[in-house]
Amino acid sequence: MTGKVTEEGGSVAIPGASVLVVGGSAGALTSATGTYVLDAPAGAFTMRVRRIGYRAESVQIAAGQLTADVILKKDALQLDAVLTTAQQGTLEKKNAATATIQVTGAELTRVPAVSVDQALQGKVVGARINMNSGAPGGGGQIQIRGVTSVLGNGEPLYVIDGVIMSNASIAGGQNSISRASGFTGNVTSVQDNRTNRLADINPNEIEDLQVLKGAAASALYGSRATNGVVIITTKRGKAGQTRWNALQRVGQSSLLRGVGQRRFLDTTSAIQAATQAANATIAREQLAAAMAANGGQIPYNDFTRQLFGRQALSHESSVQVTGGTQSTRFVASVGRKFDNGIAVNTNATRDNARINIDQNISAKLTARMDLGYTRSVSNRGISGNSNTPVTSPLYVFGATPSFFTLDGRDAQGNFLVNRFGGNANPINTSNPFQTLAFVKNEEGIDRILAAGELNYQALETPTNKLRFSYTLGADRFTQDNQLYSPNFMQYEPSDGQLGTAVQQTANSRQLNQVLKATHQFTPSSLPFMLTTTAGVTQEEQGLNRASIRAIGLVPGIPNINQGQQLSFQSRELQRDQAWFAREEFLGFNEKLYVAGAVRGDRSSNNGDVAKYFVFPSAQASYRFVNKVPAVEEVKLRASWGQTGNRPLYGQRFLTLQGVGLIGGVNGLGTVATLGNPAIKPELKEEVEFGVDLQAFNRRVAVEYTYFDAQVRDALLLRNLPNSSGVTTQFDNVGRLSNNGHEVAVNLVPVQRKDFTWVSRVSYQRIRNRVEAADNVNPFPPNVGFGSAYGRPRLATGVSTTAIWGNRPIFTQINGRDTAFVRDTIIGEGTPDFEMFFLNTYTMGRFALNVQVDWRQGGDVSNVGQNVFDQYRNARDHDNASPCRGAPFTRDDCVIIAGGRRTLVDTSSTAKLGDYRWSKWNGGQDARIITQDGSFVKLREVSLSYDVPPTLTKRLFGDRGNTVRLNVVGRNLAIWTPYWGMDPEVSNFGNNNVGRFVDLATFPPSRQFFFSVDVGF
Amino acid sequence: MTISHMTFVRGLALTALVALGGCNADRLNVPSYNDPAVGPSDRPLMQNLASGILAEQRGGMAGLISNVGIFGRESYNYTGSEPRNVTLFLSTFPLDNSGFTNGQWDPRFRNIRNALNLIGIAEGAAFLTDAEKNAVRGFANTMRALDLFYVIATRDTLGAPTAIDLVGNTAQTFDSRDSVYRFISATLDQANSQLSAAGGTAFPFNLTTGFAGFNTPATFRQFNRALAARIQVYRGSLGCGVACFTAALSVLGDSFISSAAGADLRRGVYHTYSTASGDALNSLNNAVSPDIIGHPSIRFDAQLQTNGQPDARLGAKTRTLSPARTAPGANLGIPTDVGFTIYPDQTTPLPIIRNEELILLRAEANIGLSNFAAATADLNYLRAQAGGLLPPVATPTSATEAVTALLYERRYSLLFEGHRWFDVRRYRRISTLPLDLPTHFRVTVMPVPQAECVFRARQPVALRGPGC
Repeated sequence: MTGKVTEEGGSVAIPGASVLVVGGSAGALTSATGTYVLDAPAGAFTMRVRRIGYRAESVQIAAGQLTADVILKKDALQLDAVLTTAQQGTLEKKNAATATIQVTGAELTRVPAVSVDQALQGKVVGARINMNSGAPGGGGQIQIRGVTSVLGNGEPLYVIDGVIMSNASIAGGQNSISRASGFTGNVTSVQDNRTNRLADINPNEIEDLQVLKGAAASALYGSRATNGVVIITTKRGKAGQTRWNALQRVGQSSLLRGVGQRRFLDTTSAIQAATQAANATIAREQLAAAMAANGGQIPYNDFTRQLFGRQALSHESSVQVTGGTQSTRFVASVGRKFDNGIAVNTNATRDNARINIDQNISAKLTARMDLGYTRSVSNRGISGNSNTPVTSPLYVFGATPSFFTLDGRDAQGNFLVNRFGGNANPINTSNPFQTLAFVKNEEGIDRILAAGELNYQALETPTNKLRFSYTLGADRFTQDNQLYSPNFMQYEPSDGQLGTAVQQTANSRQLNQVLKATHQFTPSSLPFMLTTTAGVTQEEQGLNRASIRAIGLVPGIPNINQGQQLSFQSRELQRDQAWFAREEFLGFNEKLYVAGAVRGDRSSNNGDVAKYFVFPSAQASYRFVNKVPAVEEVKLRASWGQTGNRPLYGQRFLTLQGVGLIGGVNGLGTVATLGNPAIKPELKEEVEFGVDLQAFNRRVAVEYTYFDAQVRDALLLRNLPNSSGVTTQFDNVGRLSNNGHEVAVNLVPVQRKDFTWVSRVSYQRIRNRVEAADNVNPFPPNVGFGSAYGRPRLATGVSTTAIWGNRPIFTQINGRDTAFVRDTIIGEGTPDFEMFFLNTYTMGRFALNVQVDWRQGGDVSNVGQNVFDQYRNARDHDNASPCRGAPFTRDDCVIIAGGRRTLVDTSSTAKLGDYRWSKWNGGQDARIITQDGSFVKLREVSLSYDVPPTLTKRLFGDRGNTVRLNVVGRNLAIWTPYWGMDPEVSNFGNNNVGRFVDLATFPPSRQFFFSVDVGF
Repeated sequence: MTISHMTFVRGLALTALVALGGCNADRLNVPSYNDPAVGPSDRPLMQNLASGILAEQRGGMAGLISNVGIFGRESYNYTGSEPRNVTLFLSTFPLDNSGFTNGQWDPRFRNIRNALNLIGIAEGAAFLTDAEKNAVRGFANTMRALDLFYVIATRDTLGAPTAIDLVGNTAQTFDSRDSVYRFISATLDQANSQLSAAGGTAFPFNLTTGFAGFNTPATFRQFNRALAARIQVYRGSLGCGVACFTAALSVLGDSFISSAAGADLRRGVYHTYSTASGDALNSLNNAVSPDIIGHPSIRFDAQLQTNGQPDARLGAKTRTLSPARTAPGANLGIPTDVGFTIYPDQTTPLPIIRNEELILLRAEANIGLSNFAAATADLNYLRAQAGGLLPPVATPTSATEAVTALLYERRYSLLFEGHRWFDVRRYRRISTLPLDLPTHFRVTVMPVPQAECVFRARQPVALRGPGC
């Protein structure tokens, strides 16, 4: 049987639409010209035709009918999408009982992004998605519905075509130069500006991406599902004429927002500032030299603009080919994306190749085989926190007065020696222009993602269908980090050894397999359908890292087999086994949907490895159709579920630890933190309620969801009396709670033949709270610089993401004025709310997309500003202090000095920078650097134009060609009261609780691309 | 629901069960790759555990000497970026129990636990002879007694727990200072008999070169007795009096004390360091810690030799810094030009106990027993042996006078080896320590760490004091 599928109101063919026999297994996809060939069953049947972006249509086919053309109406709000439920079942969105997000590949690739996480920003209501810095190559974090774990994994599970993929972020060794976490004991550190490996996925390969947020939605992923699940489906082959698609993009990045420098108006203030970072002699000498070279004027250098002012070309090329026969379909793609960073020698390259094959082996047996390869190479320079010698550019800029021409060269062409920031000793500071010119910090990934699946349709009758499927997924990558700081770098002599080299190799290997059976029961006499799914899974993840640092190198040789070495290795191996079962009921004209599921999980990370932890869930939805005028449908939905978060590798072991070498022997002794042989998964129990509404002939769709999740058995470090010889023990003693509201309003304000305006506004408000954290170590690991700067801290009854830090307290005790410093709550890392505005305007062949993100609230610990203020170099240093003429009663103008309440400088010349520094008062008042991170960002803009077929025919001949031209931009503008460059950064990279520290981060960039998309 | 559907559901369940049978739970027994699991032991492991005890104990020594050096006005820590090394030790009252001044607690108890672990493993070890088991017990008990000594010497009247719950990790009661010292004495005596019972056997592990001459149970016993003498003398000075001083003289006889002419005053037991990767450096060395410097009173208080030069011990142990160092902030401390040369090299061994101290212990015991002449003989022996041309002191006529003479010799003979603060406190002479600035005060005890007290605050009253 054949036919053609076209768009309503025109003759535009719809390729890639699925044509299915309802109640049967036969199906086909339309070709590029919209035609299909269906292996139709004998007798009359119902045929269902659907395509993303169009409303699904059902067509009655009479016995013996051989042709049927179908016209699909546009579905601007995508209300008829098909969702993947857990473990690859499918469900029509209209019946979904949980709030599930679906993002199409087209939405992900409309504007190029450094990684999938960046592309998802503002598109997933209920998730906080932030990039850690503006460095090319990625590095971001998706946190779904609040903080669900403190010590365990806090990021979603990523599943691509059934392969559970690693999203590890492995530190690369930058610490050996930045010394952010100290030098002697660490090659790498969490402050290494890490990249999470989601960055290896090419968005162009993605057909759609779904985010399962609530416990009921993700429950079938068992003990790895508390943080939500991101399911990525790559494009599948389409039978028919071989079709090529090519994409070419050219563009560039430029600095979005710098920090500037203080402009010195007189020599006194210049010397005062310069003295702070060196000494008076050097200050005078350097200022005199700088002025002499500038005609007697004090020069001004905006270092950030100079170093991060590069506008080099970036490009992306991608070719995809799809085709095949009804029994063998394939899609293959290759692509390269090269992003030049905004600083010299910073860039990221990602090469991808993928082939997906579907094969119908027999009428009952089908198979798929997917193979993807990625090579990612990034050069991200040095950024973030830094200790002596200070090498992180923005840190050095904070210490260097703007009159010094850092990017200058001496007569021999060498970079100038920077004397500022190292207490007069130049080997304790650096010249960032030299640093980025010569330091190599390269990370290379080679990665293979492979999936295979066999499906066997064991039984197929009108009432009973039974299908077995087996999926095998493998994810294997090697990360290779090479870091080299040549002998001649300004800071190199600081450790007495010239040159630093790091070599790190990390091997990650993950395997998972799923065997499942699905039974669908459609009794002809009764108005419902039952689907039963059951199966077993096995998963294994291994990671082996070895890093070696060498200092004291032969000039020019970056190898580590020289000099003085320091080496580390860590290995992890985790295995999981699970069974699951799910029962779904869909009935009463597809109005009532009820599902229940249960999964049992056991893991090598649990104390009792043989015990299955059981996670049940249930959900239901009911659609009220056409009950109210103008409202076509109201759906009420509710779900409840439990999921787990297994402990991390190693937390169950009772071990000894190395306590160092003595007398040539490795000493072994008691660990400070005991493992726990009784450790078990964290348990999240979540309820979710929602209402979905469609009205005005599907031009209005509103989704509202409320969720409330309780995490019990949260893993924390339980305190032990230190006099027992151990200080803490991993234990399931915490309780956390998260709740929030998610709203999405979809509108089609204008829908005319020549002009359509589709608008989506979404809103999210998330609150997370510690319900119990008693007698535990309250400080989440690996984050924060302590109470002087603001840090996360767990306390019962308080927001999990509260920022704690010092503030002075003035009070009276026994009638005497008393002043002391308290570590208390001074801010909140979670925004009050976030809103995302996406508007799409289509006019003829032009389409314009504009995405604006608004975050209200959410504080940032602006440690970077503190560095500028320390050295009197902040751009706004000379502004008036808010305390000019302030009375003694002004709380924001008093500090503790000499043990008592004292006013800061209130003179009529008091300056803002000095005010901030004295208010901070050596860390006694961290409130001054805890700042509002609200912003509005123009996140994405894209303008596309479809070249008319008349023109493409002239260019390419008559093969149904399409040519689309795009001009796109990302992060084009930001409006924020925040002092720093970008409130959306994290010095400590991916971590569960403290994503609010901004220190010397790699600056954010704006990106423009022009692209041509050709299909033929 | 029809029969056929139920049949399929059962079929599926069966499928799942069959498949699950293939999932072997044994595969989930993944080993610990990064740290050795506590488990079956063997002879090589004994070496690592013994070395672990030595390493953990060594790890606390530089901090101890530096901290009590500041409290006892022997040293300063003038690290430029960390003025709290001055303020939190000398001018913040009470002492901060959450950092800086709360040391000598966690690692010491951790090492006591290490020692008890080693004993526990030895008890059940089929690969050790009974004599070797006694050797292990004697070693471990000696070391844990020493660790507990550092705890009580720094906490003094606060007391300390002496027991450790290896299984439940519960808090144990604080014992009074005197009970703790009694417990240490008893532990050392027990170790002594265990070492004796080991007979001529060797330890089933090697000790470091710092134990040269004391590395068999028979010779290690001399080290044990030396420590026992220190404890008895401390107890004597803290109220036990004659009984303990008598015991001290008795155990000194079994130690390695020697006051023969030309005896090596430095003979003793040391912690060793090396530059090997993974090993530690002596962080009291000037190159390793350039900011740890001497208190100027060391120079002013030195007695003069007959040639007019100061006490030869001053010259041997200090040097003049040029330029003088100033405190890392205004009004924090006074300038000083005294630097230490006691640990001249990055790997100079650090003494645990040595002959010079033993002679001083004998003198102190004799003072306590009013044998002033015998005591004076020992003091004058040291003045001649170590002090250069210092004139001999006359036999004192009172205990007070004798103690004054003793404390002077102890101060210079054991300079910057972690004794001065304990000594002046033992004899209630803490007020003899100079106050450099009016804001400074004299510390008498180091606080129990905040974490310990926070934990105990939730425990029954009996477990809370007196330390917290």
